[in-house]
Amino acid sequence: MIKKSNLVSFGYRGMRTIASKLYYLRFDMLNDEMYKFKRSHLSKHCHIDRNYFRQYKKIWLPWSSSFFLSRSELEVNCFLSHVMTLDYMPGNVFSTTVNPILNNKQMSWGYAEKGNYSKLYGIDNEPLSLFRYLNGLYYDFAGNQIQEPESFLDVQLKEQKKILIKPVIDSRGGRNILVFEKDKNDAWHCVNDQVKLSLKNLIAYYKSNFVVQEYVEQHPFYKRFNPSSFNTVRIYVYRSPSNEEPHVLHSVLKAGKPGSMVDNLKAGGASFYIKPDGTILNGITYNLKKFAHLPNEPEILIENLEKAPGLDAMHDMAKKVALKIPYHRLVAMDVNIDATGKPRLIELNLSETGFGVQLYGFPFFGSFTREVIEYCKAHKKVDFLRI
Amino acid sequence: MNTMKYVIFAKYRWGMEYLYRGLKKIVRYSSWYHTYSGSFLEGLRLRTVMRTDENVVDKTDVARYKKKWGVLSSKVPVLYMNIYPLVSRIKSENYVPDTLYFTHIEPMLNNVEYSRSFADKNMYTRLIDKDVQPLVLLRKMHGMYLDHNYKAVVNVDNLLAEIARELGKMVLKHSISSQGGRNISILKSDGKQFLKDGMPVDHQWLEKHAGDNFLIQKFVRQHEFYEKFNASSLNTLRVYTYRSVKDEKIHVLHSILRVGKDGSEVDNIKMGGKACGITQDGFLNGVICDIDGHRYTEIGQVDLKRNVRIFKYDEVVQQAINVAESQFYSRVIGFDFCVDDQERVRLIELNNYDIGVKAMQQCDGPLFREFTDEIIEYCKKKKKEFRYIIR
Repeated sequence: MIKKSNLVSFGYRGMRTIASKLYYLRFDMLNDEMYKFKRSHLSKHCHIDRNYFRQYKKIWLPWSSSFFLSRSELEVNCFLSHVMTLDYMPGNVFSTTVNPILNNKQMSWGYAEKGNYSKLYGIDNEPLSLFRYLNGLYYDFAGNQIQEPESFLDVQLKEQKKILIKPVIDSRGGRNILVFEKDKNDAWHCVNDQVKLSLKNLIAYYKSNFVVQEYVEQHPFYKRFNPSSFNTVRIYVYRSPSNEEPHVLHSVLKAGKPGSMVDNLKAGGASFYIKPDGTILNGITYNLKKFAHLPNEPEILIENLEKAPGLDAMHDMAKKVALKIPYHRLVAMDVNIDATGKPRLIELNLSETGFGVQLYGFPFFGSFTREVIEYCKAHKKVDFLRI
Repeated sequence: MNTMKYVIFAKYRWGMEYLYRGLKKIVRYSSWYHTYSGSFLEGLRLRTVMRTDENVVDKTDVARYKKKWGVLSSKVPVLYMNIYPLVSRIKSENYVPDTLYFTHIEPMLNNVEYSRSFADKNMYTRLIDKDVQPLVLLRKMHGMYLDHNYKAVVNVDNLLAEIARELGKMVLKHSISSQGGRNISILKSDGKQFLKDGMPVDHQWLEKHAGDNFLIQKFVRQHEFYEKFNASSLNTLRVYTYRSVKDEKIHVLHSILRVGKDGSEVDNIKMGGKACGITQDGFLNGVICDIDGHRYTEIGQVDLKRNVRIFKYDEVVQQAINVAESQFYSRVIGFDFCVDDQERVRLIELNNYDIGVKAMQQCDGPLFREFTDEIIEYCKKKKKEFRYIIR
């Protein structure tokens, strides 16, 4: 088809190229603007010298699709953590080049679907999906199609006291998550919105897809960081091309702001870095505010807390799952352990992984930085315009 | 001063945002035009090679056709209404214009973005059924070599040598975007190793020639019924299913048998193969045509005068319905099935975007049959929120 209208094809390809370049430039500017804002919270004396920044550019810029790097970003990473290194991954290079090479987003939808993790990854760690609505079709917890969805949902809800409803795909940042609870009269009411619980209302709210899941009670240790939200640990797993083995890069605990149902940082939450031995470092908010005490128990220093429980079990589960997602070398999983100590896989983030861990002074790819650069130099990236 | 700079910069960035969004819109429009013109030129080519100026429709038919399909787009080429009846002998205003199908109808019925990963051949075993696909001996997904059970393969050369000792032939194909028989190779064994054009197929060869996403399957020997049509190619049944927007039930719209060119290893119509129409009951309907719309009265060693029923047709259709039920992001799917010499139905390919519809309409009449009006109505409603997809 393409060969038959060469002139059209040529013009079309040219247009595509310009659009791609604009996309990269837009991303560079967006990233720089964001870090300029963050940089404004730091002291004026925090300054990276020209030669150091030149070396930084030499490492990251020549092979990437980005046009420039943000000096503010490097300054924020270096001075907030007091760790000077050139291995910090620039945010724009990650988004425009590294991520589209390591991860094939075009193929991610089939793997990120909630309620399907047990079938795809052979695990029983996902919260039970009572009901799924997918593009006009209704499915039960075992993936069987339901003919009478309303009565089925009623039966399922009778056994529950608290449920959580979210989009099947792409609920990152707590987007469109609804929590419903039964009151004294056994009537459902939404805890974080005004939506009334009925199939018709849910379809109107979510449009094309949603999943109804049991509400998992979190482990008391993690609850201390904020009792109202389900606080998850984001685990970054990287599958190395040298031996195809999964490696846990970082673990970060995310806790919502007091009263919030979700652990979203942008909505006022905070993140806490968990070292591989389970020690928890101080918290940082989205606006780069550092704090050393538990938000709800100001008398307790975070560094005096016991080691994060269940971390090894969560890492093992994350590595097991990462091995079964072939089109993604970098996977960010939101996991935690429930009240009984069982690891739970809450969500898979396959395309927008985020990488705020550098604020703690840990370069994102750590000891794999050179390997990732070489891999990216040798491989093509997925066509983002199609996504 | 710094604040001022920041404000100017922010404004500049939003200008950039508008420019980018505007350009992306133009790219979307160009993508539409690109697909439209390619499809239209193909229609013109077909009319030329069919050497016909005969108009099977009159002005009233044309007006009705334009009125019917014009609700979806202002550009409705009439030529499809003229060329398809010449082969199918069915006159109808329900023939879907190919241009409109690719630019509007298919992207509205199927969520192309979501469904792409379900068309990955390396995904079938995991998501559909372990036995539905011919046995996968080796696969490569995003650069990672895996076996049938998705376990990492450490030594590819050893595995290939082992297979070469046991099997005479295997099939190498791309797992993503290999519709229409593209990128399919038959690899033959000399007892020690597999060869392709005299070159040994080993790890190094695969790295150089096969790309990052492929699968190697056991060669399927087709059932003797299908072999009679053409012995050299694997002749597959293309079954086109549709999940109704009214009742969400799966319906089989059409089936055709694709037969490869004499001597060819694939059944691709573009490479000289032929399409044979099949009735809803599974009998050959007597229409056989090639890419140029030429009709044939005979094919292989099959006697068309006898009422020929397609072997295992009901089982194939049932399998198509079963799989289609699990594909919630795609309302229209084109399946390629074959029946092997052990009488087992095998899924060769699942197409949920850019599904060829020409042969269907030539062999068996209008694509959407009695569902045409409900589909037009559905697409009409979706038109407001629809954006042209970028190909």
